[in-house]
Amino acid sequence: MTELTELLPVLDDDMTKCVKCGMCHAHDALYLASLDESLGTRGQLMLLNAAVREGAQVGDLFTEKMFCSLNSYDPQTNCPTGTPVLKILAQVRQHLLKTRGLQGLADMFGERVLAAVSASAAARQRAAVLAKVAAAELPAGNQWTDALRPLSDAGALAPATALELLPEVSPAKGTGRVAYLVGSLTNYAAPEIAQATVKVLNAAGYEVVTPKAQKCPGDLFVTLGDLDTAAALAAHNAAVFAEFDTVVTSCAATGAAVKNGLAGDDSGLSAKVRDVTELLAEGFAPRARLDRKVAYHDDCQLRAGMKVTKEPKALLTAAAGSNFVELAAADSASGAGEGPFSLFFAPLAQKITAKKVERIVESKADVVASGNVAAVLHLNEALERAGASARMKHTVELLAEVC
Amino acid sequence: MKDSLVSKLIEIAGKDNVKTSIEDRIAHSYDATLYTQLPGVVVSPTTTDQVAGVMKLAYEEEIPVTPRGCGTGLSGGAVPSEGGISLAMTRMNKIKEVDAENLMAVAEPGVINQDLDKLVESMGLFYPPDPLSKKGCSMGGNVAEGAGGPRAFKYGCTRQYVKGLEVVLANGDVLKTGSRTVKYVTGFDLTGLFTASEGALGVMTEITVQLLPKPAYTETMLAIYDDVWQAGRTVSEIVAAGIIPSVLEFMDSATTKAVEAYAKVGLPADADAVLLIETDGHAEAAREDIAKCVEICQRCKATRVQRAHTAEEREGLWKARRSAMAAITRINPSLIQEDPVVPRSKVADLAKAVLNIGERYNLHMCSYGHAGDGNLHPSILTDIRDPAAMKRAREAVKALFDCVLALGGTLSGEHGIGREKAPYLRQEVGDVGIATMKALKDALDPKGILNPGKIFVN
Repeated sequence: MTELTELLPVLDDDMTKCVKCGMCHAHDALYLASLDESLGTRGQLMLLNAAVREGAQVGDLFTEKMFCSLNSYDPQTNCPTGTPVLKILAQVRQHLLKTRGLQGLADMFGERVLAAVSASAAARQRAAVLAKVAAAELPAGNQWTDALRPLSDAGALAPATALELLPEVSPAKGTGRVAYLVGSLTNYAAPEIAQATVKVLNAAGYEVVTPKAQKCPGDLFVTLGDLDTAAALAAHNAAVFAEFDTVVTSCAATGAAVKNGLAGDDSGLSAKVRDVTELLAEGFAPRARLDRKVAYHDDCQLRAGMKVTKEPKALLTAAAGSNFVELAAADSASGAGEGPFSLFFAPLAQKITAKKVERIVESKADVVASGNVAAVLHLNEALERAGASARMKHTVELLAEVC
Repeated sequence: MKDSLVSKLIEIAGKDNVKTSIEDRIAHSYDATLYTQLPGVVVSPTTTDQVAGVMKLAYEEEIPVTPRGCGTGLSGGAVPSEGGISLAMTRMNKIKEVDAENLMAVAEPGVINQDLDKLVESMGLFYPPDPLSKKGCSMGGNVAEGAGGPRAFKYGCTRQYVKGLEVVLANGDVLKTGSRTVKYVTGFDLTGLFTASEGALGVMTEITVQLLPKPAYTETMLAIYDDVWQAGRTVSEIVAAGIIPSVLEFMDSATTKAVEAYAKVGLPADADAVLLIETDGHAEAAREDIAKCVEICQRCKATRVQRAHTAEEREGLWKARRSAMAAITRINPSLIQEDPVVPRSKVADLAKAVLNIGERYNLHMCSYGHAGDGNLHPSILTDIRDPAAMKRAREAVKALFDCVLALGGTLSGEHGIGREKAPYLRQEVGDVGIATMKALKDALDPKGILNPGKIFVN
């Protein structure tokens, strides 16, 4: 059993902002899938309140509930009183990790992750990226390193990373110059998305600089509760990108984590980061039309995390014309979650995902675009397994076909 | 809770629906008020049979049971009894039927208000009760507390729409009330009795509500005043002119100031009151009515009158009202919000009194709400961590209800009595009123196991 009362000075003001109105539930995919208050955002905050303010002793189940989160921006963005849930949860996880180690999380790394990994190639791939990044960035002896090591061979990663494939400078005819922050999942598992990003930016007239020295932006470590590593990575990237005015991302989860400063002080990097579609909205013109039915998954990481929703849809509509079809509840969750959620909580993730797959099938789209790389990989496999013909693509991959 | 009882509950409701961990109990210890109490067990039934089984056991063993919807209530109604059963109804969430021909819908109690409204809207119908928490509150909670909302002025509260209920009684018997017919005077009005009974008389497991055809057209306007009395006069004159707006919302000076600081919607700093008015129905009628409202607002010396011409403009005018809660909780984090109703002609008196009470008790207070039906939400913004301020807040609540009753008003329009207003009930309904309510309570719940500690002071 662990006491959390010492967190009170750190969390007091942020926690007090929650008035328990329950309006987060309507925007909380995990609550809606489970209808379990203790897994909802308000429930998490009230559990925390009992532990931090009233000294309730917490054990394994509490720890699990603090980690059981999609890390979606939706509940936080729609909170009427502005309770910074993601920041609070990150701090609690850090504290739990420091005081309890991986106690209570062991179960997640045992049977559950193995079950998720054995059932899904997308899960294997994400597990492998997680292990790879952890091995690369964590100091020796860090508790996560050992826990994650068995996952490193779980899934097939791309033969060459995005950072290996992309030139440091990709010139263009226009006058704009931007730096590209790739993100770990793209780098190791989906370098083709990085290549498409550079291609469309070039077509829109931007010279793209992809600094080889960049590292994982740290968002994975925020979800794992390792804020020290996240902060070190944020500081490193801040220095790498210091000379640039605009830093573009194509991974919404990466962009959202940086933009919201979750990883800690990044010396102004958060103010410079923009989603690739924000830049394309100003200079991209399709030269051909997409010849199949296209829909758009309005992922929370991009919509609520980066406040970008009109641009990608406008670009896709321009590229697809009458081939663009609406996806019902386009803003509903994919079940991918940010961080290791879909590995830890596979049954809940699958429940959320199944609903999304159903809606994609109903839309009759051939291809569904999204700006969140995790959602693209996660849903792609779910569609394949469901026997659906539709596939996921990153928005820039579709735009790259017509530029 | 004793292991043997938990085993029996698991037998009745299934393992996945019975939780005893401290984490699950904490997550069911509260609603949207500042009260908390820890239940002994959380049961989330999925069928009426399970609810009946739970009640039968609770009746035999005399275990307190507190039904719970989504926990968005503002009276403490869903806060459980220490050590009792929190009966979480959220998993009974099927919309069983929409009967467009007879304008009826049948829903389980866990259905979200907005989900029902969206579904029937797609069929050209609408479910009028629209509490501002509609995206997160349940039909069961709405019926249990008698929820209202901005549209209540024209369309009435939940009570007007409940036509039939399936209720599990304290001893586990299942009662069906009401009828799908338009007219119904067969025996006592049991549907009316269980509506707004706050979980103290039975547990609802199925709700039949009436629907209306969706109004074809809506007009929206906003009026700003530098004198709250003129806003009050406007409300009276609109009603006197024979107009029934679908929305007639009010914000006082303190709310307006907070909203402007937070949402920057362009409200003047010296505004003493703001009215948001909507009329609906056939296009011609709605336009004619709103034009009359504009005229009345101008006659009552509104300093600015804005009418929405597009959907965006309409959203813009609503933004001020919708931002109210977010804005005021930025002043101070802990919110105590009441829902008294006064005769419509006394709305300005109540709004003034709220600000005076705030001054008297050195508290941030403000009010906003449904001026059309005299139902305001006096709000105290305080800090739960400051015991002295919390003590003053409790005194201010008492002063508020004294004032409401002196104005000829009532304690609650749409939140229910719960724990929050129990100490003041006798003051309004008198000894005979309490005795009559208690007689009903004793007849239906002789062992006092249903939501004890609410409505009546123990």
